[in-house]
Amino acid sequence: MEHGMLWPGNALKATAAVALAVWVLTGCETIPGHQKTAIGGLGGAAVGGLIAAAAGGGGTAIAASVIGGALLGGLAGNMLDERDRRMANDAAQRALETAPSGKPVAWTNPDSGHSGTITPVRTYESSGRFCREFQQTVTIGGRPENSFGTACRQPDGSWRIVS
Amino acid sequence: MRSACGMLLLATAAVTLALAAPRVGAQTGTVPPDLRAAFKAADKNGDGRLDREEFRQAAIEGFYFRDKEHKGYLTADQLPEASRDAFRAANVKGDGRLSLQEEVNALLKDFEAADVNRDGTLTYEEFEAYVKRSSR
Repeated sequence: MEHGMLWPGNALKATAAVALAVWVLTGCETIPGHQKTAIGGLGGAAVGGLIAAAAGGGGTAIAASVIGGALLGGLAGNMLDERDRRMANDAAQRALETAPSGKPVAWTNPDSGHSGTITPVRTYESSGRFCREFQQTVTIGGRPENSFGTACRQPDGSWRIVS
Repeated sequence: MRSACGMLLLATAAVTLALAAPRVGAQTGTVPPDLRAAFKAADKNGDGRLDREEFRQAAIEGFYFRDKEHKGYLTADQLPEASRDAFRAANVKGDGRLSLQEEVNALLKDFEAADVNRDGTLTYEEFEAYVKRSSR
């Protein structure tokens, strides 16, 4: 008998092996619910870490500024002095650079009594740059004035107001 | 027969785990202590659930804050919680640099897997359960 030929005995064994394999594959209990990890996903730890990073913000604001457009326009803008503007600008830089959406960064000028907050509300990417929509409140004489805007991060770390 | 099946599954799992051993420094099977706070922060409309858009927003901000040098991509070292295999699978371009789009796409796949009742939103319980069961 030539080695490697399928004789009736071997054929029987092969059939039994195939049958066993089919039984094992079809007879196993399926795991209820969804698969453990998404195929192509990053996995639970990474999801948790990234969502936590989103909530925690990050880093420290670099020494750059918010440029272009009118960060402090309108009537409120006209009533602010130079120090108010500098403090508002610093707060905006800090908020846009480091604050998670929904978390306000405040400024107060004890000399003028003016104050304000900048709150990023949404982050998105446009043409390879990160942009953030923000809400700004300036309080003068106890009266808050709200405005909204969008700024995009420049390669040098500054934020340019685009709307 | 069930036990034979179970043994086969255990053996397969053992081989799989051996092949996909966690990297040094990777956090395995852990849930960030601030996960509930993070979930709440991502839940912008405060309805106790994350819909796809809220989740997507959190994914974008997560990328933004992880990419501390603002290079526009994350390396595997900047994402130590992800297994090498998961990082490779998510990095469709295969250049070792996970772009924002690749990160968002991968996390949305995680979102679908976590959404056990397939209602298009995640409760905290679904979210936490996914983080636990698919953390390595």
